[in-house]
Amino acid sequence: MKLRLPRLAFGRALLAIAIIFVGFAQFSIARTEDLPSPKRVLMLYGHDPNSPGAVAFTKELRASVLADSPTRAVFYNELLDLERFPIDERQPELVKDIVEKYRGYNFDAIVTDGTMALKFANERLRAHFQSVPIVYGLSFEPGFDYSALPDNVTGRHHLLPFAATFELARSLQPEAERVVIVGGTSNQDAPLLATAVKDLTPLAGGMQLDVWQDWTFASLLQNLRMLPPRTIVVLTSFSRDRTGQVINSGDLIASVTRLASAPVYGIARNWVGDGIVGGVTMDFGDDGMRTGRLLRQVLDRTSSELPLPPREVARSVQVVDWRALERWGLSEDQLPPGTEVLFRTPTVWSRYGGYILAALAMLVVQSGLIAGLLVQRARRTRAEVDLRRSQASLNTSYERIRDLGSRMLQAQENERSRIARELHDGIGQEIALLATHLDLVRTNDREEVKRLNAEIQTRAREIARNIRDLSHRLHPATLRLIGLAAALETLRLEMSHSGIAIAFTHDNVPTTLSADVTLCIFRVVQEALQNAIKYSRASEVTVHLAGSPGRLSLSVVDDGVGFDVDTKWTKGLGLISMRERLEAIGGLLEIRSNPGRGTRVEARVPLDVIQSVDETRPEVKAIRASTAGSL
Amino acid sequence: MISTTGPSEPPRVLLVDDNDEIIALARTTIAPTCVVVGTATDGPSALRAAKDLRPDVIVLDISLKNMTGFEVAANLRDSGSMAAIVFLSLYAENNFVVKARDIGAIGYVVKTRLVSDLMHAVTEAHMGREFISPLC
Repeated sequence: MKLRLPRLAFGRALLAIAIIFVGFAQFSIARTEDLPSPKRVLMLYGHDPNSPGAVAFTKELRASVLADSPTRAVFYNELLDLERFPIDERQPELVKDIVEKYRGYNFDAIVTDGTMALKFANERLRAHFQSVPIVYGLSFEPGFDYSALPDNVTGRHHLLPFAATFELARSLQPEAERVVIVGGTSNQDAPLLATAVKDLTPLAGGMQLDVWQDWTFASLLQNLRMLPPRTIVVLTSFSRDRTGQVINSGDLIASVTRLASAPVYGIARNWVGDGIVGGVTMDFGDDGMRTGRLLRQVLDRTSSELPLPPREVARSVQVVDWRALERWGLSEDQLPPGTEVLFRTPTVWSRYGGYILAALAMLVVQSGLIAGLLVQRARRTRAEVDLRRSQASLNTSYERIRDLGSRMLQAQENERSRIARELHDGIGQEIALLATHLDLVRTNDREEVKRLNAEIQTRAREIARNIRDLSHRLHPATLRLIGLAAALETLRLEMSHSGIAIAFTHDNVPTTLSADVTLCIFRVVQEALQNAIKYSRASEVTVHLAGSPGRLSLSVVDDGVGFDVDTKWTKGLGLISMRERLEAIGGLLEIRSNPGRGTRVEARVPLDVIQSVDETRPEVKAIRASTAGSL
Repeated sequence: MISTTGPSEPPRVLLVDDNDEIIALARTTIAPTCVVVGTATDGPSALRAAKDLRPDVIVLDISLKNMTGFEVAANLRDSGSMAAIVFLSLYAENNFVVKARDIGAIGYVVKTRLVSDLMHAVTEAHMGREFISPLC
């Protein structure tokens, strides 16, 4: 058993390998056999196969046949060159050549380019390629009866859209006065031009209609240059000029439109972009694609007995070139609905609108931020200026207070020294003399005692008077006892001893002035008189006190040497104490003085202040009330 | 208001001063010819005493606490008192004399001349005659 087992396994492996090998062989045979043989397609070119329309047609047709299809197709191209060689002249040779050339080739389809090629294939080749279906495309030449074609022919043809193109031109140029139809002289050009003329004549209305046909290319360009702007140029087909020069219409467009002094319209989609305004156009690329589809359906048929797909009529496309509209100043608003606008240069807005908006938004935000910062900075600067100003004013106040403080201390010291001197030199001296006299009384005879007694009495009265004067200067107690006016009169008498003539007058001074006001006015007068005596060298000083409704006014006027008020404020305490006293009770001080022209001191105290202050003395009233009518 | 004493009778005097020594000196000075019916040391008590005692003459200091002598005199006058007023003051100033007269006082004695002038001034006042101390 142990020996037979490997032998059995080996056999099985061989069998498996054989099966795999056979399977692969069969698979590769099957693949080779599944591939269909390529379809043979004969392309008959009636037009120049290098013209832009034919190139687009061929390219799209081939792409359409080969794309997404298992069908393989091989194209054989025959150039009939029917524009130059009219078919009737060389038909037998041409047919014979083609037949000889492709003997043994069983074509699956013949594709014709253009109506002339279709006609040639249908009428001349049919006898030789009887069962080969024909698929026609790029067929736009007029005058062909498609309905007469046999069953094994299919394809698509165009209806020349001259009328619609003209309508489009009219809607864009409603003011146009002239229409020029341009065409060439070839046997392909003539029927197109004729169709255009036939189609446009009934539509032109009152417009002047010119047909430019039998011209040289040069004179055509020359005349296009001189057209008035209110002209519509319709370009039909220009493949040969008067001299016989063959021109590809597609190649012509750019130079025609560049030189023309009026808008040019056309009916080929591939002309749009070369300078024409546009038109209702035949799209040959689209035609190639759709014809290719028909061809594929033809080739894909499983049996030649099956019917061909139905024939089609191509749809025209209304297209304009945005750049040409701009060039001629034609309004896009005049376009009929459904018009396709090509080559529109996107505006800066449409291209960068988002970026512009974002940039603008950022600009606005940044501007806002900058404005905010500027405002903040301005505020800060203002606040700093205010701060500096108030600091400066604070410093000034501080300096002033310090200065006042030191002046006040000095004034206080001066006053103390004066009082001390007066007590010591005046009253002290008197009392010493009094004591001496008293001592003498003890020791002398009777007559002498009498004399000394009288002297002692005199001296004692003198002492009493001195003390009273000193006390009075320290504080005018008489104010309280006899009132402001009487106290000022007393003051006047005292100050008159200095030798200066002082006049005091008063008028309507209220009898019930408050202690604050009376003391203030008294001190102001006292200070002003002292200044006048000390500094003014005046011969006369006039003091006047007047009461009026709402106000108490004081003036002290001298005829002295005057002084510079501004500099005096900063020295001593006199002027400042006057001002401070007045301001404390709501009053005002005004000093007018000029060197050599005397001095005028004026003070004003509002009366309502006086009255309100006066009300603070209820004591007297209370006593009066308790004694009224009792005696 | 009718006085209870005639001119032939010794005058009944009220002394008003905030200094006790001055009151004592004044009492001694006028004692030979006058009867001191009462004393006061401030304005309100002086007004009460004047009302209660009805003196013929009031000797009144000017510089009193709370009220001045002028205010006391004006108050007395306003309340209808018939007492003759003699001011006794330290102030030897004409202004004071003028003010005293304005209020209706009949005598003004400077304190430094109390001993020599006061009795005479009170007697004269009782008789309805004015007396003013020399102001020197």
